[in-house]
Order: sequence, then structure tokens, then C-alpha cells
Amino acid sequence: MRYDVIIIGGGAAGLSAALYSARYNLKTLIIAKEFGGTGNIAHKVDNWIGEPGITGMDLMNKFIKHIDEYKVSKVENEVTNISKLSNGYFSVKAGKIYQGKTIIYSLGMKHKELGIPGEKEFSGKGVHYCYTCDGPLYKNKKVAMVGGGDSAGWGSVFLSEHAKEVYTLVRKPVMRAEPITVSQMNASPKIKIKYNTEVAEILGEKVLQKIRLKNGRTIELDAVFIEVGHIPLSDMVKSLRIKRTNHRYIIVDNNQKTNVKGFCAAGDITTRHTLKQFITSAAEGSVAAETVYNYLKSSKW
Amino acid sequence: MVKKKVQIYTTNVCPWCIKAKEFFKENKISYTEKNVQKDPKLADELLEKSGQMGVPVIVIDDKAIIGFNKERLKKVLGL
Repeated sequence: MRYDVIIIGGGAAGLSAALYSARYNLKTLIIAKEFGGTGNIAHKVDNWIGEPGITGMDLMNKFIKHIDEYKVSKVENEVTNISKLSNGYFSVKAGKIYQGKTIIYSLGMKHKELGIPGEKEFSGKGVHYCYTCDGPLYKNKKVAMVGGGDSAGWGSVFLSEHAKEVYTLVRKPVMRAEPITVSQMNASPKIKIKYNTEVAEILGEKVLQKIRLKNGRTIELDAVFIEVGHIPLSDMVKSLRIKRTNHRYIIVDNNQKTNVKGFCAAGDITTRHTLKQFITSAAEGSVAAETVYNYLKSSKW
Repeated sequence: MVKKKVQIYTTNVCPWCIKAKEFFKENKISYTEKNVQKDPKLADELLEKSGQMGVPVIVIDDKAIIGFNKERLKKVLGL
């Protein structure tokens, strides 16, 4: 099947791009392994204006329902390859092959791991990457959150509702999380923020029992939650010679254009905004849709 | 009609647990929910069956599937 635009990724950026593409009357296909993407995981989204306190999953379900009203074609599958054909179309493999005159690439990012001894061994046995899922299993226990950004901050607050004690282990001398979150953390008698602190090793037997810090100290714990950032899922565009930064972010201009004609990128995966939020992703998706619409009309990139 | 015994270990707001339950509802397969947050004693059972302290874990007959992996579920259920 041939489309005007194929959107790869079903998070806030991709869904927003789909809505705008449909409104521009473009023949649109959106492909995602899981619609809603990592947006589904946020337990509470307090910075999407107009919807205070909504969960990530409820917000994403609203986005999906909205594009369904426009009858956008959706494919739920993993994209495994993208290539450029001699007829000028992009070929996208997701089980079947789909062809698109343009692409909006918004695959987002995956969780970064610490890469320390014991992390893999105790994954799911005390080492966790989804605090909303596994945090409640540690009621009245002693846990740690590793990281200093927004997710680590929100995670620490969430964990403090269940655990007896929460150590937030921050590599830097300050937290990058929003000040409102840091204030909440400081106000909680259960949360102890430890700055300049790095985890060196995770130890245990059947399950995690303690962690060793780089300074040699050990802390006995029941669980460690890891929120140390994300890695852009952009390796697939390498063969198309799309320019990326050393940290794998796709380089785009203010119109979400990459260096390759007809290929836009949007959302967390791009260099456009350092603020990686639902609102910035959705905005980038809408701009990308306008860009492909203008390109299809004028052939100018 | 799939006739397998399905148990889903969950916690209250776990997004992938919600997605897993939706998947079984959509495919009209009945399941028993085991909410470890409501009944913390189930944590031992969860660890024993899956070697995990994480949710969701979906046990189909005697096979424990860790996390919500739609493709694996479809294979195991023959969908």
C-alpha cells in the first residue's frame, strides 16, 4: 500500500502528527509496536495543560481515540527496516512492506541501564525500571531510586507512598527534576536525597539484598529503581544517512526536517527541544505534519 | 475459544497490567487477577512461579510469561 506519509512511532509525537496529517487530507499510515508508547507509563501527568492529574495511559487513550475519529490507518507492529526506493518512495517494513512519499519518524527513546555488575542478574528481582508497576510490591520496605531527572523525582515521590524509606541516589551535586518535584521530595520524611552518589554494584542471592556505592559504602535495600535517562531509538535511520548527534538524537531544523528530503523526525528523539515532555512532542508532531504537507504540495525541501 | 487457565499478577496502577488485562478482554479469554498490592502474601507465590518480583506476570496453564509481550502471548495462546 502507498501513502502520502508514514508515521513511525505511536507516542505523543506520532499521534499528534497523525491527527494533523489527517486534517491536511494526507493519506496517512501510523505504525507502532504499542500505541501510546512510553507515554503509557507516566503514573500522573501534571504538566499537560487542561488535564491536571491525568494518567499517561488515559491521556494516550484520548490521543488514540482522537485519531480514530479521523479513521487514520493504524498498524500495530514493530518497524524493522526503512529504505529509499528508486521510485522515490520510502519503503517501511513492519511485518508487511508499506510505501510512503514521506516519513515522520517518532520512535522516541528506550530506558537507559546503569551497566553495572549485578544489574542484569537481579533485573525483576529487586532491580526495576517501572516504578508504577513494581513500586507497590515494596510496601514498608527500603528502596532506592537512581537518577536525578524528572522521572527519578516523580518516581521517588510515588515510591514514598508505598515504601518505608526511599533513598534517591543522584550522581550530580543537584537534581535536574522540576523544582516543584524536588520540593515535594524534600517535604517527605521518607525520602533521603544523596547527592554525588553513584552505584557501583548490585549484590544479593536469589534477590537483591544490597548495593555497593563507588565510595565503597554498602546500603542494605529491598529494591533499586533505575531512572537514569533514555537512549534515542534512532539506529534504524543510519542506513539512510540521516544526521545524528553523538548521543544518537536526530538532527532537525525548526520545521522538523532532517538532512534527507521527505524525512522528518519529531518528539523525544530529536535535537529540537531539551524539554522532553508530552507537550513538546505533540508540538513537534504537528509541525512535522505541516512540513510534509508543504513538501508534497511544492516539492521544495 | 481458548480454554487455558490464565492468571495475571498485577498491582493497582501498573500500566502494562492494565494493557495485559485489556488484551485478554479483547480476545474474550477469561483470567483470574492476582493483585499483589492488595494481597502482599501473593508476592511469595509470584517469586516462586516466575522468579520475579515484578509485574505483570501472566501464567498460562503452568507457563509464566514475564511482562506484557503481545507477540509471545499470541503464540502461547495460538491466536
